[in-house]
Amino acid sequence: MLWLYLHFPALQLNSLAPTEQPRALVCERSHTLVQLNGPARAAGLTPAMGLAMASSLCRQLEVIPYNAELNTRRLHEMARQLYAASAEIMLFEPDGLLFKAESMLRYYGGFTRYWSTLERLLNAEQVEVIPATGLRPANARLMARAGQACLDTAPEPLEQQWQWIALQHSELPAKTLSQLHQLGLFRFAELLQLPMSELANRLDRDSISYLRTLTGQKASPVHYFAPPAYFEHYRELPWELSTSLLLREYVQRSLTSLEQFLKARAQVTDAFSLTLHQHQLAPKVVRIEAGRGECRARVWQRLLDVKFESVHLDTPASGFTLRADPGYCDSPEHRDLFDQASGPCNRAELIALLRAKLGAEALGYVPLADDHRPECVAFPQPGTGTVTADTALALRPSLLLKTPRLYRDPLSIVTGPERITTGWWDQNSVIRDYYIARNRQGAWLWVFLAQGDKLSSPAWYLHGYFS
Amino acid sequence: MLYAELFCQSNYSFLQGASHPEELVTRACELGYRAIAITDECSVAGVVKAYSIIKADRLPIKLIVGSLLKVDNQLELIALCPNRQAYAELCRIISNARRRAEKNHYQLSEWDIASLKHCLLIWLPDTERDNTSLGRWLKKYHSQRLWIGLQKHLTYGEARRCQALQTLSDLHQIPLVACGGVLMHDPSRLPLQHVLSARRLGLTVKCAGRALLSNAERSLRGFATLQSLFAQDLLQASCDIAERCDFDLSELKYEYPTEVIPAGLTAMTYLRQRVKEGSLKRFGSQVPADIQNTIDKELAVIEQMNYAHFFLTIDDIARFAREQNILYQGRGSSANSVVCYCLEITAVDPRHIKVLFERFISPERNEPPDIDVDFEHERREEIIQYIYQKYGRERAALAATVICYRFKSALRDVGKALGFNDTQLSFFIKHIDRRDKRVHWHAQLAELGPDMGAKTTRQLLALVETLIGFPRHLSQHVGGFVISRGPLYELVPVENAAMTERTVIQWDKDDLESLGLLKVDILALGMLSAIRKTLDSIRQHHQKDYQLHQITAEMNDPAVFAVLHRADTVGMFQIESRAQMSMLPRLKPINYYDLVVQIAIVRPGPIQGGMVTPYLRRRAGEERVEYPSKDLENVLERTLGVPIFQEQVIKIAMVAAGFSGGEADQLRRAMGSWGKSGKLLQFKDKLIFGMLERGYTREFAEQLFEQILGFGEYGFPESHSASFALLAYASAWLKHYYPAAFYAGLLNSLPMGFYSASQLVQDAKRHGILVLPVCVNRSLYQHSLEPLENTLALRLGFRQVKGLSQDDVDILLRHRKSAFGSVESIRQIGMSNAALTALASANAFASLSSNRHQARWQLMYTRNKTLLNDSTQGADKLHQPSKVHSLLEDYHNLGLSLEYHPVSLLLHEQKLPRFVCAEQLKQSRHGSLVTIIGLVTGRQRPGTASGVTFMTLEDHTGNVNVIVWSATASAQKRAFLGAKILQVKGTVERSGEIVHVIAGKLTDLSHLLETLTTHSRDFH
Repeated sequence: MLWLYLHFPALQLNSLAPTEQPRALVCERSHTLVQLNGPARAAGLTPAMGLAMASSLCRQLEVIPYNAELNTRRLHEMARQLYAASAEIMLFEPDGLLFKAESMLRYYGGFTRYWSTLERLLNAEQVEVIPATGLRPANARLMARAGQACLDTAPEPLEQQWQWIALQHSELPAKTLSQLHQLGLFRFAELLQLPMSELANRLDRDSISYLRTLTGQKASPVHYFAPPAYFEHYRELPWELSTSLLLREYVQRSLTSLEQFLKARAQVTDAFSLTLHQHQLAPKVVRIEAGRGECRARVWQRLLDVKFESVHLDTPASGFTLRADPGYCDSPEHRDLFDQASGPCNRAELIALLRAKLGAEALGYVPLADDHRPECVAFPQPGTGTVTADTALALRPSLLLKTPRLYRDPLSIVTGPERITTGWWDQNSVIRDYYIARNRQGAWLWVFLAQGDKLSSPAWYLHGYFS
Repeated sequence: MLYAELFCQSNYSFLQGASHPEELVTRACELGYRAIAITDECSVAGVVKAYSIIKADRLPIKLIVGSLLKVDNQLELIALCPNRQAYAELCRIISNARRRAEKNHYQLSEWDIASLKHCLLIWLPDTERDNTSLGRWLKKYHSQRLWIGLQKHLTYGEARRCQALQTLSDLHQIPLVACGGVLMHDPSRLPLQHVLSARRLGLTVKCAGRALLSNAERSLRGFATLQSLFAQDLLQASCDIAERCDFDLSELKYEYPTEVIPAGLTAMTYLRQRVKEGSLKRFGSQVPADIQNTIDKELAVIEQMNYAHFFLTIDDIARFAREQNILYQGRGSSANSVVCYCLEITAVDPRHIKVLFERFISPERNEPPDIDVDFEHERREEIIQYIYQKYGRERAALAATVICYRFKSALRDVGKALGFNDTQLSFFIKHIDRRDKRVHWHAQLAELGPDMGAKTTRQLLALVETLIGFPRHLSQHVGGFVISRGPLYELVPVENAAMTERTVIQWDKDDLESLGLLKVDILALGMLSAIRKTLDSIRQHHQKDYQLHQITAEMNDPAVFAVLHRADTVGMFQIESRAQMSMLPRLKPINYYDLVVQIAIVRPGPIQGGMVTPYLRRRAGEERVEYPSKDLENVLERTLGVPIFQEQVIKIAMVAAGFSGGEADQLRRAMGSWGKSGKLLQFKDKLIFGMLERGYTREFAEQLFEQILGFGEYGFPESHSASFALLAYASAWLKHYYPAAFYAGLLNSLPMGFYSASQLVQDAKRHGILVLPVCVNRSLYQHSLEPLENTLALRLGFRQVKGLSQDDVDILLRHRKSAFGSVESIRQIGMSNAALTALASANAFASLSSNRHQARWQLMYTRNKTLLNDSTQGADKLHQPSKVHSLLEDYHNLGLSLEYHPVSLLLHEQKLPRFVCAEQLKQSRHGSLVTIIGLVTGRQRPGTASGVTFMTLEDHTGNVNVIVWSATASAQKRAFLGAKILQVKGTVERSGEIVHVIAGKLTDLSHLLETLTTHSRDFH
């Protein structure tokens, strides 16, 4: 039986745009390097090196936190992509895929063509990969994880090669590994010289079981991957992007994948959600609806472009997730004649376009933010916090002006001041004394005396009307 | 002004207050406040700082001691101390509340509040709740001492709250008083206050929202503002309350414990008696006249200053240590007194220290007596337990150490509050080298990528600068005990320390000093353990019973000093570092006082002041000894006209710059806290102008100030150097005459000192000591001496084996009636598997099994041995360990190897290019080009040596000192930072017998021994 294992040593790193600058993913708990790009390796950095040493060796190093969850998510995406070319796939989270190559050989007429198909798909994904074949799943995995690329199919070399792999690359428990090293055993070939019965008298059950799977005395458990019924793509951005338009290029690639996904299933979908991940803030979700079943990336892109014109990011986005609604069969009975060519775009597209253009703002969705500054509380502030009914909010006018207006008419102060001096950390710092006042007409006004904030001179401003 | 601020929290209300106590009182004084109360939350940790600045700057403002007390989120009030009784009861309830809870927390009960009989209370009601019953309850217990605090901060709903308070006041007939709830001395501290609050909440400032202050009104405000906010009678009430508060911290009188004084004697009589007994012991019946004169003078000063109890307390502790055979040594100005010599607090013979500069207490400067006592580091706990046992936990506690924000913690906290992510901050912190004086950390940060023009980055820089030096929490002092006659909690609040069973007071050493309270420093010193163990060993194997004071009676043995001239000082106290080693052949000490100078001169103070070269030149007769003035001749005579010691610098400030005794004292204290507060700079102008006025050159003045800054980084007084020099001499003497016993003593006291076990063993072998391996049939737990062919060999003990517990060793030794015959027989005695494996790894079965692999194979066998089962089956298939493997195992499991040195092994395997070994290097010409190869055992970058790193390379013949310039290091970072085995091509620099190599090309050869696990001592 021939198996193929693909080890992905830098999945998360490969999902970022390539750069000439040294870049490394760092485990936040141990502060050690986990994944490195070429320039970082060239600067002398190696995996498992400490951050302090790495930063001393390479001052230009760009550091990104390693996220095992992202790596795993990306592995699932890889499985989904490769599923088009190979049926029986097993996942080894967070960085490996195992293929039952034997069963695919007759469809492809040999391993070479099978591998070239997989290789083409892998190249399109731009990921680093170490492939290794083996007569048993554990052997193929061992070879790939040891960094020994191997595409042999003849049984004899395959049975020999894995035995020369160092034990440290195996899945033996750390304790066993240390015990074997202390006996002067560093490679499987040396270990297998010893009678298995004597080893069984000395090693734990898991280690013996692993050795038996490697030597073919015991079968490995098999759990095949089944692709999900929906499309979901996560992409981490190479750097934080502060305007939605800059995201276009990155989202476009995911839309192309979506189109491929749907077409492969002869499906369409009505909508997708684009979740923009922002540091410190809750993710921002943008929903794009096509008005009817759609699969073309071009159409989705157009709707997204319109939507992006009105999407403002409060803080830069660090990544996005594109998740499509469940797809369904694109059968001709779902269409009628009038759907076709009724102007530059059809009715459904136009509705979708308008919805994309006016969506959230037209609905007047007003989140309540936790902030002393009135304008930050009562007006939409993209992603400034969860929306909760907060009864502790101060008394504020029922009609709050979006922009305070200079107010020159006579006023009689009823109560105040309430002084608000805050927001020094962002672009909207305020130094204001608020009063409740009445004008000549008897209207209850909320006015403030600005004291040198971004509104130029100290003067009275009207900020709202009490009912 | 008719206002006294009665509610003001300093930054000792951690993560709340945003101003130092000093800033608060100074600002309040500028604003013309009558008085200010420092009312930190359940704490009086900040009051002494406020008190000190008022005293030092003679500020015309009254300080009121108080505290903000919160009971179960139900009741919040300010307690103020009108008199000493009130202060005692406040300390008591704070202590109780703190002792009930874990470190950094407190738990007050209503009963605590009810028990306050003297404190004045300002109630801060929560107007959102029903306060009727609370009001009635408070009124019942505190009717004439109770007010309701009215605060106006221009926040939403304030008018309604004020109205509610007025109603409450009318209902219960409790008068109102204005108070500020101050958290900042100035509104400009608002961003910092927001940052601190955000950190308290674990959020960023952006997400903290309305949990942050809405404005800066919780700062000290001018009278006009206060008048517009409060009615006149409320302001007047604050003054009336302040008027009632007469308590002043200067009233706190330290009352010494009396247990140590026999009934019927006064402290002074008893001290005289003890000194008399001691002088007979030390000098015999004929005390030299000059010594007797000194004793009489010292006793007179002690009597005048009322310090007899203090000396007797230490005398008592020293006596206990002697009874328990614990070696100790006093240090500090008072420790070097003849009185202390007679009391056996120190072994420094006064006949050696006639020349010492500041020998005793200085009444003119009003400094407290300075006596630190070092004990054997492994046995200090016995002393601490003795103190607790003798005085009880109520009367003895450790002084606090205020842990302040330093650069890293400040950058991390401000960064988090501003929304930088953790990894980014770790990256910044690891990248920025604060010791790099050439590039300011702002510039270093700019190199790391953040947009320096961005608002957030600018805010980060400014806030970090302000936050550095802010107190973060209280920790325990390393060994400063405060012991009192009555319960300590009536003097100062006591709280739990992080260590269980330890309590700590809320004041640090500066606070204690400001209030004239004395602490007894009980410190730990590894060298004392080593010396005691060496003396024990000499007694056992050489039948000679030496005492420390006998060894140091003369301190003039030329043979011992000759060793120092060769810088052969590995393991010797205080003179074993690289820097000391390179100074020894230049300074060539020939007597005790030279050693005192030697120890003090390789420090930041003299180095930054540029005093080292002039001193050495004058000593070598290459430069004439001259003095800046006649007045300074007295001060500088002993050090050839060059100031070396901290005491000299202070004295120069007095003599040459006109500092008063008080100012000189402030200067001394500022040196002690320079890193924290940056206070030294304020003395610069006074010092320089003072010296210019008196005719000294600007150059000398500037140099002196640089030296003062150097002392600020690492103060080193002559009085401490004097005690250290004694131990340095003793260790040198022991190493010279009893080297095997000395190395055993050192190895048995690790971790301590500068060198690892491996380095010490290498050094021992170079000195001809035969070192024997760990053996299951021969070793003891400790390293021991073993007679072998007319000499004493050093047998490594089981303590050197990693992962082997003393309990397991006890089992082994208990069963070792005679030598074990097989591995199997040891397997049967009941030691843990881990212990057996550790012994096998350390090759301790070498006498019973042919190699480690075989021994381990047998030990791994899990089935019971029967006739049919044989644990050796299969062992023949295992390889013999290679030399490299054995070496690696030795380093991994023992931290050293007796068989091979990595370099000799590589040499033997012909893996190394031609190179010059350490022994051969001694013959190399100055300026010649050489290649050296060695194990990197240390990388040191002293703060005083700009841009230079000292590396130590060890080969099989000795150590080579390598100097790497920063340009060389940064061009070859990988080899410089990463190499364990390094090849250096460089130039020989020879100065007498001392040889250095100035590095040129560095090559990492670590791959030759890939997994070598030795640890180098980097950047200490």
